Amino acid sequence: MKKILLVEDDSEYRTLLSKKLKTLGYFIYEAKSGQEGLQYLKSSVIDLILLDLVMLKMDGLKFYQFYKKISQNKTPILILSNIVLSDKDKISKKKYIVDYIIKSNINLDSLTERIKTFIN
Amino acid sequence: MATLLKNKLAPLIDIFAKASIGDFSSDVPIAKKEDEFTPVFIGVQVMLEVIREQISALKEADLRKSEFLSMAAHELRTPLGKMSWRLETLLEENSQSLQITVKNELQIIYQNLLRNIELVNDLLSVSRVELGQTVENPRYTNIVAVIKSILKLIENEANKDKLSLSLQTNNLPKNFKLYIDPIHFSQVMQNLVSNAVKYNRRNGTIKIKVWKTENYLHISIADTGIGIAKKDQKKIFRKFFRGSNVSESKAATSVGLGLVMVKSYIKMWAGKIRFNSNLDKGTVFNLDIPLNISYT
Repeated sequence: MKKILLVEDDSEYRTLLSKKLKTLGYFIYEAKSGQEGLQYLKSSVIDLILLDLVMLKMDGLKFYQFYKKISQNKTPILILSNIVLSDKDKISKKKYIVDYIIKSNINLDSLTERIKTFIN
Repeated sequence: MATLLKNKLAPLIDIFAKASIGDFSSDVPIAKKEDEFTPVFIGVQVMLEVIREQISALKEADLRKSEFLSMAAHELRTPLGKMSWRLETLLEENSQSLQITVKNELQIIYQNLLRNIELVNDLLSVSRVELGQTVENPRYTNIVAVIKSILKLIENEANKDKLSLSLQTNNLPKNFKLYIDPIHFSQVMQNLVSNAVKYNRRNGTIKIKVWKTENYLHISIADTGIGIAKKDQKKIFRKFFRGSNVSESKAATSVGLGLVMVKSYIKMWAGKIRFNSNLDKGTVFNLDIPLNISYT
């Protein structure tokens, strides 16, 4: 079973996406902050990270800095955020980040299709 | 006398040389012993300080604008995105149990929500260009492939009105690539093509042609739609403007920002946009995009 770490502080987004991915047969670690995400990263084997950027307790960028230090097999990261393009360019070019998706601009079906391409 | 003057003013020449290339960081050496040049030196120093302050104020303002847009985008998109995911889930999970009328109503709400998201995106794009906050991310882009994917996206909409879509790539070499921001280029084409679909008539046509000359890539998009009235032609690139002949139902599906965005991007690439329109016959938009867009 493929394992996905979902780092998202908004409970609605987190629950909706997690539920959808579970029905497709993925195992989901749900983290409510960057900090919680790091805990999972240290203790589990993960195939893909879905990372929100704007979070109160440790945002996505901080998480990414720690991730670079501790993730041994450099799990691919897919950014899921609603912030604008000028911010997007700074992070989307960074290593191990496979894509940057604006949440409001994609439906769950297309998003899970994208996720599939990075996990198999 | 001339030599004395030259020697005395030598430090300023260096400062002006730097200033001419935008470097205002050096201070004027002001001698402890006052002479008739002292006021000139002090004057230049004060000027430098004023310029430095203004530059830093401008940078600060730029940063504020960019932060504002980031946050506005985030705050506007977040609830809309959640609603659309929720509705999508609701419709999918209950597709069997929902009453047809309820399902239809929810579908309408869902479509309106998607429109709303599009509007927020358009509004953000226009604001970004206007506030000078657009970041161009150019790449060698297969523009024919981009146009084809837009046509694919719009196919369903076009089929409803039995429109025929065609794309001619005339003298364009196979796999021709233009160094341009693919997202912005796609936004431009999407707007023009979707207008051509939206304002067309039943069984109408949309012909897209792409060709190049020595310095430009040319694209024309011709429709057989309602056209733009003479009196409206000067106004179509204004914000929130809709043609006087646009039906109420069609007007409800746009806010009049698409062409504003199209023009802003084309201007940014130092390109040109023109159009020719006949009422009830159709409109042709012509784009000229430089093959060597300069990015500073």
